[in-house]
This record gives sequence, structure tokens and C-alpha cells, in this order.
Amino acid sequence: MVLLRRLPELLLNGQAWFFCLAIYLVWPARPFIGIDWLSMLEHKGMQWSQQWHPSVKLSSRIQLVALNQMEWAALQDPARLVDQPALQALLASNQQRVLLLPALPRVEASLAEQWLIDLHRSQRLLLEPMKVAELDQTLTVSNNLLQWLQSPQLSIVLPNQPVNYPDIAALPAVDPQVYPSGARSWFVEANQRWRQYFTVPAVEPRPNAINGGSQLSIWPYQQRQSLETILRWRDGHYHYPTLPLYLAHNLSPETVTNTAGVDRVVILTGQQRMMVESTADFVSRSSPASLVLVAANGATDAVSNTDVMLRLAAQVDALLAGNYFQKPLWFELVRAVVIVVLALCFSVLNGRSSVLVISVFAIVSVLALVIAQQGLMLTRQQWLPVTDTMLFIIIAWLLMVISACRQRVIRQLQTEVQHSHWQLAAMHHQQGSLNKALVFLQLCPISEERLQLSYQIGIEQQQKRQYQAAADTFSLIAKQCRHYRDASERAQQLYALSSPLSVKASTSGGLANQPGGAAVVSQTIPLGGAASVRPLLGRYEIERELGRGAMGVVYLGRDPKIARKVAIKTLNYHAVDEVQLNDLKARFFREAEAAGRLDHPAIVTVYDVGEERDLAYIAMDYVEGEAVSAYVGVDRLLPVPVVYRLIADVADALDYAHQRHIIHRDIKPGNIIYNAARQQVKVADFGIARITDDSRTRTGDVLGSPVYMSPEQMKGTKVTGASDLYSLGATFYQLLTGQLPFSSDSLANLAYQVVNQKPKSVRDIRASLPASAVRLINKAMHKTPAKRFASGAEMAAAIRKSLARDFPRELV
Amino acid sequence: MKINAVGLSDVGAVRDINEDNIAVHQFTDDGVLAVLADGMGGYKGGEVASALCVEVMMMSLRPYLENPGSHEQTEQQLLRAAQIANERIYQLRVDQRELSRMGTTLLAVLVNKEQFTVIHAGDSRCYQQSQKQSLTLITRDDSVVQAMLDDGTITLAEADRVPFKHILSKALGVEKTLDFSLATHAWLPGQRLLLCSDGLYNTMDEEYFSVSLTTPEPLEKRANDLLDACLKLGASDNVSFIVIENTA
Repeated sequence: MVLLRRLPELLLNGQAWFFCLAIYLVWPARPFIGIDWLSMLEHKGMQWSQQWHPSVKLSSRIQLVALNQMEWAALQDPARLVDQPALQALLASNQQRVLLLPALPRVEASLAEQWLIDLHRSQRLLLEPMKVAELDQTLTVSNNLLQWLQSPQLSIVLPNQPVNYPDIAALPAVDPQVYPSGARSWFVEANQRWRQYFTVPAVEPRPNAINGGSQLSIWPYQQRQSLETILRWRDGHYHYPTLPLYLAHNLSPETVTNTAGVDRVVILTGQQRMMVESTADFVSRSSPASLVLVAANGATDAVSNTDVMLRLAAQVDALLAGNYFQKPLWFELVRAVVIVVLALCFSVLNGRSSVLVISVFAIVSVLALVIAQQGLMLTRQQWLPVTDTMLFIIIAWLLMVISACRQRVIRQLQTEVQHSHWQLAAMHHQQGSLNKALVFLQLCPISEERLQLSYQIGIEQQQKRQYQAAADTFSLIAKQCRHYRDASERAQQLYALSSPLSVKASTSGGLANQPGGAAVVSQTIPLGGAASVRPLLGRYEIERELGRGAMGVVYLGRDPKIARKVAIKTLNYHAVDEVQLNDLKARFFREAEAAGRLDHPAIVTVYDVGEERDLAYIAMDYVEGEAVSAYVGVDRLLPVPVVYRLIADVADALDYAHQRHIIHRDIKPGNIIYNAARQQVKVADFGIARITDDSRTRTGDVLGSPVYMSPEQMKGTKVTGASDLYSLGATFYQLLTGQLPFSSDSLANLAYQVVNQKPKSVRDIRASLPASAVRLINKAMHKTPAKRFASGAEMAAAIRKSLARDFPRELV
Repeated sequence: MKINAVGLSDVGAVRDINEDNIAVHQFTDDGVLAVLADGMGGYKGGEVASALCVEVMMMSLRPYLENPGSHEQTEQQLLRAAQIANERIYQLRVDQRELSRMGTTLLAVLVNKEQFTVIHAGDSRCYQQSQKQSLTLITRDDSVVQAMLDDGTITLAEADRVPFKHILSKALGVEKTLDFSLATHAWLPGQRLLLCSDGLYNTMDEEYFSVSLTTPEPLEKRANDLLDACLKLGASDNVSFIVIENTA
């Protein structure tokens, strides 16, 4: 399956090709495709190598004689032999001769002549003397032929006679008794000789030799031109010499002994100096050749082919002269192993290594082959036909270079793409789009840098409270590199943190009872635990929670750039009805921006406004101190002069803001921060405090108790600076008495009181208060805005005046 | 005497979730029980509270409907059922943290023979219409605004601007016990009752739906037309109403 899926790729990268080539080369019975030109190459290589090989001996002890048609016909008919003196001379010579004939000579053809002469001699038939002499001559030649053929120096070979071994014994044997002259006995002898060809005693039966086949041919059945000569045929446990070996053995048995155990030799031919002669030329020259090969023209297709005859002669010659190289028995096996190993090496190198490495490898392997080949040739007289192996290396090298060039382009592109992915990732990271950065980072290869950046992004996600995303990031890192820092622990912690159970928006159950805060879901920012990383809001590091407001949590943050502490008030989008969200956000930012323009010592400075995925926030000066809501308990009241001064300062601050048309809308003890040590007061949350989602119907139990609201606010009419002064009056009331001006268990009732009733005099609650307190509060909390103090400055002045009058000593 | 009753409830044009629930059960030829609840309270709470309310009302009144008695008995039964509903919602609210802010209004009408009884808490309204006369509101909203109007803190013109206009003074599930408003009226031929959630009356004027309910079309068609009109006006809240007609 894997192979199938990778097939197109394999076809493209050339690996499959050299594997196919390797399989082809290793295959024992490889098809003959391409063998011709491989042999040619092998031959060329050999010729080239033997030029400087010292052991090459050239000899020409074999002569070739070709019989013409007339001479072959004469062998079939002794009557015609009479007219062939040259042939008679050849047959009668003492030299070793081998007759390669298409069929046995027909010696028995002279039986008729014998019979006629016998009749003539017994007077039963009278022949003309001429005829008798003719018959006599024929008979003489015929008898001579019989003698010549029986000479031990002469062998007859029927090269085209296929024999089905082991039924060789079943060949028709002729009973010698049938023929009175006994002439047929030659046949038997010829048959024996012929059989002798198969049973060379020097060749021992050898099991497990390499070649085989049941169809046996006398002639080496090698249609194709090859330098390799098979020496023996094997059939079962028996081995039979091929014709060259047989002939060589007949001439010189020790030659065969030398080649015992060798199945194939590589013959060095000296054929260019051999020539085929006619019978007449041979007889007239009478050269002392050690072997005369006589072939009848047309004896076989093969033998009639002069080239084949020349080759046979050359092979026998080489065997006799010892002029050959052996191909070692182990060669085929080793060659297969080498090719497989090479193929594996190439497949390992392919696609991984540069062209240079591949080329060096190819060159080294070719050199090794050449050295092995030449070395064995020189020292062991062995020849390794490694041309195909070298060719394999060269082709594989070519394929791989092509593939490597393609790969290089691809790799270059890949590198570029990866580089740009990396840059994009880094860019997105810098711009803060962590998710995009991660997407591009996934496309980069896994490396230390990638892990490092991923880790960094995980940390930042954690800081930005994207716990699920951070957990995913860390678990991915852990997957890619099991023990990369503390990624897996972080992932686990964060998963736990982001699971629905713990994310459960901390509904402000407690908040419901707080005055001024409508109950809203405010998602908290978990601190501690997995947050060994400080969460971030914008650029601010969150240190701890300071408190909870109507629409979100207030945090203590730190601006890491200038090491300044900030209070960060958040507007949690989850707490807001989606329909209202945009409206509310717009209001939030508008108010925050307005508040940001305020610069007054008694107003908390707004530094920054920002938006995160699920909340908007406003960063302001973190003021050391406590909200004066801490001093509203009867037992914790501030000294009256301090309250006077404090309220005057707030009135000043309000005046400053009102001049810039910014109305606080929610003046209450919780929004006034007092630092007792420095006697300093600051007003917080200008404009934004009352931003709440009031579009939805809510049950009445969680209403924010609007005890400091002015009547006009309660009625929903226009809110002005005077409303802030009313609320400041109510705050003044509470800080002096420890009680609220109005109290009720229901909002409806409270609203009624605020609009219609006068609060109890402060002196009724706390008799020790100066009369000015009643006056100031009554004026500040007047139902009609127009009748209150005209401005914050006026109120401040009035308070200070009273303070100076009522508490002169404290003024110092 | 014959009664026709149709109820419709729709998520409205803006919201994602319908927190209203209604149920209409005609138990005899001249007897109908209609319940309408408008839930509130964030994540899932509204749906749960209103569904629970309607369910409890229908279930607890079922045995009584098999043999309804006098109007005193009917009032008693309605009150008992409403109190059970309140307790159930309250209990669930205490038990389940994420439902801790849920609540619901309740408006139930039980028409039986010649009388009908209305029980209600919250700001769902019941209007009454005789023949072709205009609608009259026969319930009083339990909301802060209504209270402020009642005690003269604000005038009707100011009501829309009051900061607390969406805050109810009564709702089921808030307290363990709740005082319901209960009243019995005469059920006369040709009379029509309209029970609706605030989604309807906050979106369109009362005159409009009084007119659209008096066309000669079949009741279902009129009710659907009314809902379509309301949605076209961009109902920002869930819209639910039940119309009961005395066709005798």
C-alpha cells in the first residue's frame, strides 16, 4: 500500500528506475534484451585490458580446412572419392584432424562394388576388364577410406546432431553380423567415438554447478556472440564437455585437467590470424599444425558459418595455449550482492545527498570495480565481467543527478517557503497575532528555534488568558519534542484551567448584595497556579485582583516598560447582551477617552484604553490608599474636619471636570480613594462607572442600590454636574453619620424616597456635628438641581469656609 | 358558549434564544387554561425558569381541571400551583450555580363557564377587550417603573427614561415565597383576552394590536398577522401572546 501510494513519487525521482535496473541485472535468467551490446562492451573492455596484460599468448596451432560440395559428396560416395586426390591426401595425413560433418560418411556405399567383384572373381559374372579395374579402384579407395576414418588421429563430429541424453544408448546400433564385409563395424566404432565425446574421464561429475539444461547439444548452443565460453554441460549429476573442451582434451588431456572445476572461461581469441583454407591449399602447404579442423561446407548452418568455425578454432586454440581467463565461480553471486548493495546505497543517498557526494560515491565504486577487475586479471588470470555493473552505477548516478537537480530546486523553494513562513510567523508574533503566527510556525520544520518560538507564543497566549489556545500550543510542543522544557506540564495545567468546570464564569453571587453593582457574570483572570506566567492585558502584567465592578473585574497591573503600577478596570463582553455590546463599547471608549483628558491632582489619571479579545480595559493610575467606603461604618468614621477637607477636594476635582463637560455620574464612597498618610484624595472612574447593560429585564433582587443617585438621575432626566454634587452630598452625609440618607428594601421605594422625601438631618443622627454640616448637605442634596451649589468650586469654597469657622484649630 | 384560543411564541427579531414559554389547554367547551411565562437571567436561566414555570402550572392544575369548582376554588388552585412553581424555581436556583440569577414572570388565566381568573407576577400583561372597544389592561406590572409611576415619583412621560425600567419588583424564583396578584372577572360573550409578554407591548402600541385583533379574519390568521407585524417592527425581545375569545 505504502509502495503504491509512493509510486508516482518513485517514478519521478528515479529510484524506482535503478531498482528495476538492479533487479534486471541480478535476475539469474535475465532476458536477453540488451545482451548483445552489453557483450560488445564487455568485449571492448576486455580487448582494452589485455593490451598490457603479460600473459596473453598468441598462437596458431590449428588449421581450418573447408570442404567444398564435391568433396563432401565424395565422402558420401567412394566412387567419387577417386577423383579427389587432395581429399584423399588430407584423410591419409598423420596430423590430428577433426571432421565436422553434417552426417557420417557412407562407407557402406561400396558394398555393391565389392559384391560385383566377388561375383566376377568366382566366374559367375563376367565383367569387362575396364569395368573391373574401375570397380577395383573404387573398392581400394573405399577400403582406404575405411582405414583413414578408423585412424586414431581422425575424429568425426556431427555437430548438428541433437541427442537426448540419457537415452544415448538407445541410438540404433547396427548388428555387425549383418554385413559380411564387417564394414559396418566402423559405424559402431564411430558411434563409440562419438559417445566418447561425452565421457571425458578428466571431467568429474560435479553437483551444484552453475549451468544446466536437459536439452543437450553437441555444439555449444550459443547463438549469440559472446566472449564467454561454456566448458561443460550439466545434466543432473553428470557433466559433459562442450566441443572446444572435448577437442582440446583429445589433443592434450592435461589442458582439460587444468580447467577442471571451471565451468566457464573467458577466451582470448587470436582469430584475426586464423584463416580457412581449401583442401587443396592445405595439402599443398602441408604445414605442421597440431590440429586440423575440417568442416564440410553446409555440414550445419553453424559450421558452414566461417565465423563460428573460426571461433571454435580460436576457443580450442586458446584452451590448448592456456590463453584464457577464468570467470570465478563466485562471480555471479558476488555480482548480485554487489548490485543489491549498490542499489541500496543509492536509494539511501538519493534525495539526501548532494550531487558531489553521489558523484564521489559513483566514481569510487566504479574505480573499485576496475581495480578488482584488473587486479584479478593480472594476478589470478581471472576476468570479472563487470561492465554491466559499471553501467548500472553510471545509469544510477545519472538518474540520481537528475533527481538531485530537481530536488535541489525543490529544496531551494522549500527552504525559501520555510524561511518566509518563519518570517511571517515572526512578524505575526511581533504584531501580536499569535494564532496566525502559530499557523505559519506549523509550516516550518521542527527545530529548536521553532519550539522556542512556539513556547514563547504559548506563554503569551497564557498571558493573554487564551488558556485553551495556550494549552493546545503547549501540548503540540510536547508532541513534537516530548521533554521540551515544561511544555507538557503546562499543557496539563492549562487544560485543567480551561475546562468548563473551572472556567465557570464566576458569577458574582456576592456582588448581588453589594450596593451599586448589578449582578453580572465577570470572567475572572486566574492568577497563580498555572499562571507562573503573569497574564497580560495589553502590555500590562496583571498582578492581582483589586475588586469587582459592575461590568468586570478590577486588577492591579504593572506596566513593564516603565515599571509603573496601574489599576486596570475591565469591561467584560460576556457580561453584556450582544445586542447592546457595540453601543456599550462605544460608550466605554468615549467616556474613557474623555476621562483621559482630565489632569487634576484629585482625579485618578487615565493612562490607556485598550481592547482584548473578550474585554475592553482602561488602565489608570494605581493610587495607594483606600476607598472611603472603608470609613462609612459608625465605628470607623473619619474625623469631621478630615471629611470636610476631603469632600472639598472632591468638589474641586468635580469642578475641574465639569468645566470640561465631563460628568462623573457615579460619585460614591467607593469611587473616592483616600490616602490617610498623605492626606490625599482622588476621584476614580470618571464617566465609566455607570456603564452597565440595562437592556434586559432583570429580577428585582439583584438591583444595584442607587442610594447616591440624584432624583433627576432616578427619573432618567438630564444628568448635569449638579447630579454629581448631589451624590457628593449623599457621600458627605454617609461619611459624617455612617448612615445612608435613604434606605429601603426595594428599589421602587428607594426611588420614591429619593425623589420625594427629605433625608433625616445629620445632626439628628450625630448631634456633635456642626450646624454647617446640615446646611451644606441640604444644599448639596436639594431635589431641584438649580437650587444646589452652582458649581463644585462653590461647594468647595463653602465647605472650606465652614471648616475654617467650625474647626479653626485643625486648620494649622 | 364557545371558546377560541390561540397562543404564539417567537424568539423575536434580535435575540438568539426564546426565553418565553406558553401553554394553552382547552379542557371543556367553555373552559381554557392559558399560561405565559417570560424567563430572564442570563445563560440558559431564562429558558429553564419559564419552561419550569409553565410545566408546573399545567401539571399541578390538571387534576383540578377535570372537575373545576367555584371561582374561589379556582383562585385557590391557581395560587397553589403558582406557589409550587415559585418554590421549584427558587430551589433550582439555589441548587445550580449557573442558574443563580434566573427568574420568570407568570401570567395564567383560567376561563371556566362565566368567569375567568387571572394570576400574575412580573411584567407580562393581560388585556381585556369587549366587542370592538379598545383594550383595557387588567394586570398591573410588578416593575420598579410601575411602582415609581404609582407613587408619583415619575410621570408616564418620564417612564421610558428611568434607569431601572427593566427591573422587576416581583418575579418567580427570587424569594421563597411570593405574593401573586389574583383576580376573577366575568366572562361575557364577545369578550376577548390578550395575554402577552413585554416583547409585544414594548414593540407596538396597544391601539395597534387592539385593531388587528378585531378584523373579521379567523382567530389564527389574526394572531399570525399580529406576530408578523411585531416582527417587522424589529421586536428586540421574545414575543409571546395568547388570545382567548368568547365566540358565543
